Amino acid sequence: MEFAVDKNVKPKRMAILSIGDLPSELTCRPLAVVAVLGLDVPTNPVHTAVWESFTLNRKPDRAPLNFKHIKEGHEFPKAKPKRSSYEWHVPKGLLKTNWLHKHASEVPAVAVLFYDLDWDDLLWNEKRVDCANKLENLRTNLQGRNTKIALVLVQRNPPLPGGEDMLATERAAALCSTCELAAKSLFVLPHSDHLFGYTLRLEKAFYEFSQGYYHHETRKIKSHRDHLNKTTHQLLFVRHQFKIGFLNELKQDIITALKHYKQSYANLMEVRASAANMLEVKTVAGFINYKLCRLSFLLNTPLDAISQFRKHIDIFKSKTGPAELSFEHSSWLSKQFSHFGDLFDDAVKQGLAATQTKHPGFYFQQAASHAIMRKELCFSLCQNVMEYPSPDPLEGVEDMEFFGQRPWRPGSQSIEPPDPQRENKGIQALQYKEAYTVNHSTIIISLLSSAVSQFKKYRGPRMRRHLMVQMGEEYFYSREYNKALALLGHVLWDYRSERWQYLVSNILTTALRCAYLSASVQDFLTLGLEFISNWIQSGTEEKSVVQNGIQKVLEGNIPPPPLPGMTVDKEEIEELWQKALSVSNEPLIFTVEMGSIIPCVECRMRFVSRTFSADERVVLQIHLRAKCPQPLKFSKLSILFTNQHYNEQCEISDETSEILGEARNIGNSTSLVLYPQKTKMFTFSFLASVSDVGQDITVSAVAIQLGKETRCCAILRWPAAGNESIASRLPWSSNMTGLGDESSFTQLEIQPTTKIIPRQPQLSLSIEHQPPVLMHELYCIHVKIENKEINSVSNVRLLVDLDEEAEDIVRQHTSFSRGEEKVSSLPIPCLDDVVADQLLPGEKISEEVFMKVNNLGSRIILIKVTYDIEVEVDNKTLLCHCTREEKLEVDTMEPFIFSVNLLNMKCESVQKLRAEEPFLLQVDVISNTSLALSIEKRMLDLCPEVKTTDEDVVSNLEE
Amino acid sequence: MAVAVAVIGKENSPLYVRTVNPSSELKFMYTIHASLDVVEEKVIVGKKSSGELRELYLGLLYPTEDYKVYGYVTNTRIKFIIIVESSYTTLRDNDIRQMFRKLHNAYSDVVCNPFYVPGDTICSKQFESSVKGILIQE
Repeated sequence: MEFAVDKNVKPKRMAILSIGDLPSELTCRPLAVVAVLGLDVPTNPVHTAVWESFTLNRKPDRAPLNFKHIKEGHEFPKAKPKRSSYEWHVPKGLLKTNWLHKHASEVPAVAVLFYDLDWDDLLWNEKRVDCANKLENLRTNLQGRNTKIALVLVQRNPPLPGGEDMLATERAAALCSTCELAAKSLFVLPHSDHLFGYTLRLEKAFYEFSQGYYHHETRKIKSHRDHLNKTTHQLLFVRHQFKIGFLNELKQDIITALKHYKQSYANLMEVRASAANMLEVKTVAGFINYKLCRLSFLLNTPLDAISQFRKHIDIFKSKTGPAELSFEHSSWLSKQFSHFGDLFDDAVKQGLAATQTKHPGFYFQQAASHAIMRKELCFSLCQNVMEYPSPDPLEGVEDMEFFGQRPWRPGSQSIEPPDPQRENKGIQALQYKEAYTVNHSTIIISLLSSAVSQFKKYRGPRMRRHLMVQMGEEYFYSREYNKALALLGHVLWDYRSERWQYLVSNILTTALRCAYLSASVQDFLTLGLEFISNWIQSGTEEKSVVQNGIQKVLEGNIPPPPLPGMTVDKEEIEELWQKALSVSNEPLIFTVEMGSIIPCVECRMRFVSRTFSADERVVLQIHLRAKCPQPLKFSKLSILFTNQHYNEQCEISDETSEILGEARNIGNSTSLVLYPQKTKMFTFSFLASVSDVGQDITVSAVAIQLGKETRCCAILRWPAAGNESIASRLPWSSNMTGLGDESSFTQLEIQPTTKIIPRQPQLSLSIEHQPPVLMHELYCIHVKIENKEINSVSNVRLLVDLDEEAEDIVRQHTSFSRGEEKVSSLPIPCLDDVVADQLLPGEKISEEVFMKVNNLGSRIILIKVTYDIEVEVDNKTLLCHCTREEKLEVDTMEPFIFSVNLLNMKCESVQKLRAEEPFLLQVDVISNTSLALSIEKRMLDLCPEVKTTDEDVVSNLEE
Repeated sequence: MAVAVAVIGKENSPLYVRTVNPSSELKFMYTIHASLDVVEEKVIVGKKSSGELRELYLGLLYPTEDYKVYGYVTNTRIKFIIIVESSYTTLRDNDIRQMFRKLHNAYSDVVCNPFYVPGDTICSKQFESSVKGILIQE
């Protein structure tokens, strides 16, 4: 609330309520008023302790009471003399401004007098009389009111248990009769350890008293009803029901209160609303509606609250009131929505579950939109009001008797049209105040930000962005350009990524204006570069102006206003720009990531081949296509590789372009100007470094630089494709629409990576051998190498190895060697030797490689020759490492098979042998190969149990 | 009848937006865009109650002060949004469904055109005239 009434200080005057505002008594929870008298706080420590036990820590579980400490000599509001008849009474308004405050905090339901008196007090009689006097004074003070009176004796001694204290009983009765007090209104508060327990019991009793009081008050108001008639007292029907509602709230009877507020609202709808009293009706309707919604939320019937609010708005939406003051209506509507939003939000905090489509955010949003409407109406209606009328027609606004009445004709309920001259003066005064004292933007922004936080909570990201755009626009109107830029920049991303062309164009226009008006160089350039893209929906003229502006800023000059129709203070803006572009500033260099904005220049990079040989020039093409209305000149084109080694080889700047163009054989034209809707290609060729042979060369980004490094330059940077940029998700233009040049550009394949493969070897390698391979054989492989290169080669190595996939068992049973003698018994599964330091062109060498295999099966043998050669490419000598490789698959077999037979002396085959009986042993050797084998030696190795019968056993071979 | 009709692509980019009054186009654009929040939510909820065919018509997305926004999502995640004036109380749910059915048919015809690439903005005359039939006549 804009005003907060300090409850301890009695306001002399009502705070001035703006239209639609609510008095604080209406928005807080009504509590029964209990006046506390006779306590000497803070001088008397006992009294202070008693007071604090009542007032501190008032948690929700305690009785709903509002304790007011009353000092001696305080006067309660005087009760008005009771009207005997309403016959001649014509009410002058709906709700009195002082009534709520009076009953919410001034007129007590219960007045309690605290008095120090023990039953055995020495001065009992004197004190009894004094006490009676004090009570009498209190009664006089509250004359005409039905306030319940109670007396609390603060005693030092704890009471005797079980009511056996005869003295106490007797004296209590005497005191009651002296004070004319009912026995149930007399209380004893022993000031002992259990003070708090007594306090709670007293509270309960006071609460019961207050219930009785408010009940009685409502009955009193109801009793008036019979005297009223519908024609003259229509306003009183509204007022009385409202009062009963409020008193019931004080009584904490919410259901009954709601019933009476409803009745009051219904009665109000019957009041004839004219232009003269429309504001009053709307103001009071706002109050009652607030109460209705608040109590509905409290009773956990949020749908009732929402439908009541809907009804309320539907009734009053079209009741604008006087046209000259229509901003008041918007203001009132805005307040209605924001109050309801607050109530809804409070209910949510108390545990109400809101949903995506029903939450307070919508009401704040609506409040903001009415506030915006208010601002617009104010602009159109109050523009011509230059001075405040005199005498002040609004004098006495703080002393109004009724809510919602015009200060220049208070209390008037006549149907006749008011004095037109006075009316005009009053309107003029209100218009003046609206135009000069209201900060519309602050109101709008705070409502929008309330809405933003709600939509954030209830899954409405896009609605939230829309509200942020509105906030940005409002900041723009209130000339807080930096805040506007921050907000708009934040949301642009999302609109871009979903390709809402129309909205992006709209937001960008506002942002660009902000950048211009705040002379923010970087923002102006970045937004401007985005704005000139042909994707943005704006006229070519405007874009041309912006593009020229960009060029000017880069050169250090002041840009022209970017968009027509901007009413600007030219001198002020130019001064700002002058300062921003002053030479003494640090040079401004910044990067614009083209992948994340709408590009005004599109870039496609491609290596012309997927692979390049190590002795070949790598050719890279950069295609740039301008989509802006004017030719775009840039000062440098550079390519960024993942291996930075190449970066400096691929760079053109306007100073070096011509020299480089010749020296490096750069294709096409070298001038660094892009023409609208034309594609320009830049070709770079360079040699891959030796260390990159076998590796990939990847372009990470392409960058062009606008402007000079010494002053101000923007680096436009395109990441290589495949990054998570918006460009990779959705196209900026459909592939089908472009024709000719455009479509050939869009069809260019982006190829940011190429592989460098080794140079093709020109050395011949031939292998001769004679399968099959026999087990344990020294198998000879002839390797013939011939240099067919035009130059001599060096460092020729021969590598013999088993295939990578060979199993361990194969590796363990294979040995290679050069030359027969060197064959080792250990397995040597790999051979790597320099076979020649140099080979002249045409020179041949032949090598013999032996292989010994100790198991069966097939194996793949890898024979590889590597060498180095110096190649001359573009006047540069390049050392290339080449490899020639052959594979050989061989099968291994057993050379021959043995078979042994036992024969008896008759040469018959036998299975069993008898001891001491001679037998024959027949050994057959069968050759397994197609080759002729010569058997060199044979031997029979018998075990000791077997002896030869012949003296001398000689092999057949040796015979 | 409707005051604004929109076709939104799979990735939430607008394929077609037409409003009755060009001067309020911006306002409707924002309304349509914001309504996608509710569409997304409803589609997710629809997915959860899986198995059976999802109802394409999403019903009233949310009411603004002056307008009602209705949504419809095809099986290929193309969204249709129709905005009608709140004051137009004679409009029944069935009428809205009817409009969406018309729109869906017209869209199907657009997609059947072999020269139309799905995801491109729609610029078919026939579609345009179907939308005109849905929009309120000034």
